[in-house]
Amino acid sequence: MVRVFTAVFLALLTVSAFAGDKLDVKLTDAVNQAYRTLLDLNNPVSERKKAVAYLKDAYVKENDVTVIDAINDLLLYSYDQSKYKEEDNKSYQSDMIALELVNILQISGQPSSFPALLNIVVKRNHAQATINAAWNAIKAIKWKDK
Amino acid sequence: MRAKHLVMGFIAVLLFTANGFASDYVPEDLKIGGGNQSLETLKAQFFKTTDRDQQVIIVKMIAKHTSDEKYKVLAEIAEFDIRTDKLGNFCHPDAVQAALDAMILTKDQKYESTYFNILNKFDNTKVRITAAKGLAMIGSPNMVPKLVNMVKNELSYAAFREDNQKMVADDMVVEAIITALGDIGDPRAFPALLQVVTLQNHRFQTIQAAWAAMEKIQW
Repeated sequence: MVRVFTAVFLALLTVSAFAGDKLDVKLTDAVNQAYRTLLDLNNPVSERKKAVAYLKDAYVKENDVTVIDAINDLLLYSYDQSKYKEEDNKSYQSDMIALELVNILQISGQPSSFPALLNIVVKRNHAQATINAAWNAIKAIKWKDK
Repeated sequence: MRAKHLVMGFIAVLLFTANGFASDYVPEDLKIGGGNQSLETLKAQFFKTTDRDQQVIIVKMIAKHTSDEKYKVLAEIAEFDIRTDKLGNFCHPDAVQAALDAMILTKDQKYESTYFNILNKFDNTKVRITAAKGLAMIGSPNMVPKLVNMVKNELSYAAFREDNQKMVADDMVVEAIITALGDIGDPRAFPALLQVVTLQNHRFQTIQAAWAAMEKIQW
């Protein structure tokens, strides 16, 4: 019981530090549209897969760095499924979307993705493939001091 | 047939663990850069959870950080429950153990009071033994009087019994302290060691450790 109170107390202490983590970046219209499509886990998987493909192109071909902010936000909030179960097809399919988003982060190697990736490997509310991909993405981060 | 299935199951479990699916798995070849910013992210994530696996994963990740500042963070985690005893047990002993495992390799004298505090106040035997090992690895004589006091008084039972779990646990700590005193080699440890071998109110292993420590004293 004491451990639970301690956790709540400390979580409250750190909440202010993380309150600013909500997406506060101006996305281009097309990236914003893809972000909105991905935001709702009830949207059809086929549509969300198209949105992921769009984000990947926007980053790889057009070097749109706001894509990374959008993905970080999606992984930290929408795709962090606290009740994830592999047997539940809906949450599994969403997690496969998360896996594709993580793969884009691995390509980018952006240090700003670290909190989102850390959240995946620590909380482990994901398929093992997604967790492994997150580890690979962390290893691929191009730290400025490395 | 049944035995075959059992063996296959056992092998599957072994492979499952070896392939990185252990609940607190962190890749061996992981390196985390990013200076203080990523270190603070890890620290904040640590203090958001009381889950054993999550805490251990984060501590292992901090240990793989490239900045030397990581040891301050590990010390903070290791000593957190002692410094904030009113809050109860927040850090899982396995997380504290992982933090100490990384810290003691530095042999940095500035953490000797951290090790002593953990040795003196923590309630997990394995963690306390590691803290004693940390002091042994530093090899500084600063803590010798306090360690001697622990052996002679605080952890000494006149009516020691091997069937008493608490006494045996404390005696395992005494054994670790005695080993540390031997490694430090300070003559001030002699009276405590003499008491252990003469009164014999300890486990056989502890008495043996005391004889070995006596031989290492640098007169």
